[in-house]
Amino acid sequence: MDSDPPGTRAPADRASAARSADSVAIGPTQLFVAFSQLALSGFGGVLPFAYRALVEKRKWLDAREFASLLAIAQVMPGPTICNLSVMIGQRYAGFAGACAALAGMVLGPSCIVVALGIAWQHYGGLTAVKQGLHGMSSVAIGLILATAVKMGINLFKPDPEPIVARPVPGTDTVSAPTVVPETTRYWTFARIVQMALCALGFVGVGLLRWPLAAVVAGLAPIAVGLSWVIARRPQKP
Amino acid sequence: MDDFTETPLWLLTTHLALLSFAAVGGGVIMLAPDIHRYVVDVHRWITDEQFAAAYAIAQAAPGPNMLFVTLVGWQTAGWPGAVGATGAVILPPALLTFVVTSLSTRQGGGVGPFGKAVRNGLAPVSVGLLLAGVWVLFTSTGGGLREAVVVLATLAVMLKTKINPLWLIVLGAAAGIAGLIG
Repeated sequence: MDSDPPGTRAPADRASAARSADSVAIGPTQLFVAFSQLALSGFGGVLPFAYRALVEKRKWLDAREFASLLAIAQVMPGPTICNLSVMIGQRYAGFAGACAALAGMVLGPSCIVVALGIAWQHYGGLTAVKQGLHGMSSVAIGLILATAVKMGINLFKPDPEPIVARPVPGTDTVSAPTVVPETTRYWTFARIVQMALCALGFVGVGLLRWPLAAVVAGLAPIAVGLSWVIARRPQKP
Repeated sequence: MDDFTETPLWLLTTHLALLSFAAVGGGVIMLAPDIHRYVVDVHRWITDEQFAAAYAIAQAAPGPNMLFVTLVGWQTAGWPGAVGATGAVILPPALLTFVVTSLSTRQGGGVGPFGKAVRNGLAPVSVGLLLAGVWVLFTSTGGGLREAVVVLATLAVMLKTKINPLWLIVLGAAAGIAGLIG
């Protein structure tokens, strides 16, 4: 998603013009079917399948539109993939479309999950089932850890921004990139606060077992405030 | 009516509906520790084993990973619990998203500066909450040395390869059945 494949860089207005020219009606029924299909094929996370189905196969959205809708879906509270379904459904068929897309995303998979749960209730006592599930849940825990570590690596990797090439006065050239000490100190401070927020989230919810809502309510204003301040800081010396 | 507000169905549904707004910055996975605290520790509606099973089953099934909530609801209060819990986690944020998208006049423009601040700022908190989820699930399933090895091996594979995680879950099930874990 980071690098748009060639051909998806068409401006949004041209993309939507092409869509209306095709005049393929995307109604609640199509939305329900499409989202059911992609949800039911989404083993181990639906998002990659949603991208493949909506952008690459059906071409309802281009890569850039998908990325910007995804960004909003992540900012909104609640499950990202459900928010994305609502937004895409609403875009094509209003309230009915949003309901259809969301229902498609949830109905089929939840029936499967409950069916598996019923099977577990009947056969969960068997040693093989117990042991198999125990193995599965250990892997599932590892998967969450992997998500956390990947996010953490992205978050805490050294930022290239403090190294800035400055224009040399009176010429068209720029100086060799140099580290700007103030900016570096600024970033070090931001990193420490970020790590503290991460640690507090872990300790509060994981070790002290405090209610999540209280921890988020306490940390979110600090976190968002810090990020706001960083984004507002002067970009170039 | 007074009695109904004391039933597990009502308590679970209202708790999850409020909690759904705390699932900021990504996944319902980060709600797992709090849901565990509420249904296992506080109310004892289900056991540690049931919770872990719900989680593992939802990971192995297709669809959004958040559907472990459906199973927790089902184990707590049957079919009404399944429907209530799923709706409680999905519908309030979905409604909010719908209203915000409808009101937003920006067409395909992405998030504004405040949206970016929310997304970037909450990322470290999300990482901390995910780690909390790892810890709570690990300790609640009586994790020992072998389980820790599996968890860390999964982490290593996920960081080094682009393999579909489903295969790792299948492998974990096979290793478990073979009696290699626990």
